[in-house]
Amino acid sequence: MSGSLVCVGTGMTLGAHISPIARSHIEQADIVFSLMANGFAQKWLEEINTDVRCLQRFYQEGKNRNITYNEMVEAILSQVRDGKKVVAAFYGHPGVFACVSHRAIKKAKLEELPATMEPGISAEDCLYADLAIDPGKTGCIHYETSQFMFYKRNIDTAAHLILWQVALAGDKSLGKFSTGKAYRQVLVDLLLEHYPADHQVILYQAKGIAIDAMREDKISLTDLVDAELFMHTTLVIPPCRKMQPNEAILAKLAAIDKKEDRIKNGPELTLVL
Amino acid sequence: MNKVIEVLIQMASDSSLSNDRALTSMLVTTDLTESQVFAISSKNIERLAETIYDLPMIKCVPLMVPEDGNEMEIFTCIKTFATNV
Ligand SMILES: C[S@@+](CC[C@H](N)C(=O)[O-])C[C@H]1O[C@@H](n2cnc3c(N)ncnc32)[C@H](O)[C@@H]1O
Repeated sequence: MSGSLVCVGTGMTLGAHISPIARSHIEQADIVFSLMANGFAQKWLEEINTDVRCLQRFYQEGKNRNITYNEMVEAILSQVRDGKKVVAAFYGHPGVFACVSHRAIKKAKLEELPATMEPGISAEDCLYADLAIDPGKTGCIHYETSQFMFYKRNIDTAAHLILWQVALAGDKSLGKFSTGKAYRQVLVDLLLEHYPADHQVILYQAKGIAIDAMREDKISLTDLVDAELFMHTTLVIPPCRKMQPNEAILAKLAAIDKKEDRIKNGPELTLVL
Repeated sequence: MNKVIEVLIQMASDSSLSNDRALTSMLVTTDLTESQVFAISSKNIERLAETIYDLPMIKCVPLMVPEDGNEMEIFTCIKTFATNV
């Protein structure tokens, strides 16, 4: 029998978010590899499939996460190569700020093993609902916090800026589970080049289980240095200025409108033979 | 299924349980212990966790690296390292 891999998302809140197809994949898998966000979700998973293998054991403080992730991929794919029907279940969406599923699927395809992904409700989805943000209103840009720090990125302060894994801000070693104030100060200094010091930012945490409370702490940008950040905290930076009209493009569009109007309203031509 | 997990799932998926009175009436019909009912009603997650002796110790973990361009090279490194051992 040939093996297969499906990466599924279980959503953010236990019991509220999983799709019927993701649940069915989990129930019918020979082996389920898991990365859940809390013990309740892990226990639930272990009760709907009898062979659940938690990937958390690969993490180790001080170990480069690139190695951790590739070890996880190998653990998953070795079972697929053995002909097993394998599911990798991740909290949230398996492909949103989650490289293991992307790497596993990419590698499986290179080896001509069937591999697919089923979406899940991510922290991003919950954030839009909980914080009443419509990403279409003025735009919204998402970065992994350290990547945002390591590279020169364009910041549009008229759009929302969402920074993921903010608790790991500036970790070059890829081996830390959290970074301290000095690292966060560098992030704040970078943001201060674009936002005022008293700009209100939001520390957001979606509910993991039904009795959990959503976190929506509004703080001044400079207070981020001393704020309590967890691995599951996402930083939301609302716009600090209005969108600026692009006069050059607007002029070009007006010229086209005018031309089209002229054609539409011009005298009707009749064919004279 | 573990009764606490069952209740948490019911609470998360039944919209009528978003009101406190309905939740209280539902909780009395379950087989939960008194301390579990108390932990749920007072939304005390740590206390609830303590009532399940085999609850896995799981933490939210990072799943992303800032630079994800060289994963295949790293695969090769691991393999080479493994063969050298
Ligand atoms: C590795 S990413 C995983 C994201 C996940 N795949 C998803 O679909 O949401 C981890 C980051 O997601 C965000 N995150 C995870 N859990 C969260 C929660 N409960 N509330 C808000 N953000 C969360 C945080 O920014 C955290 O550092």
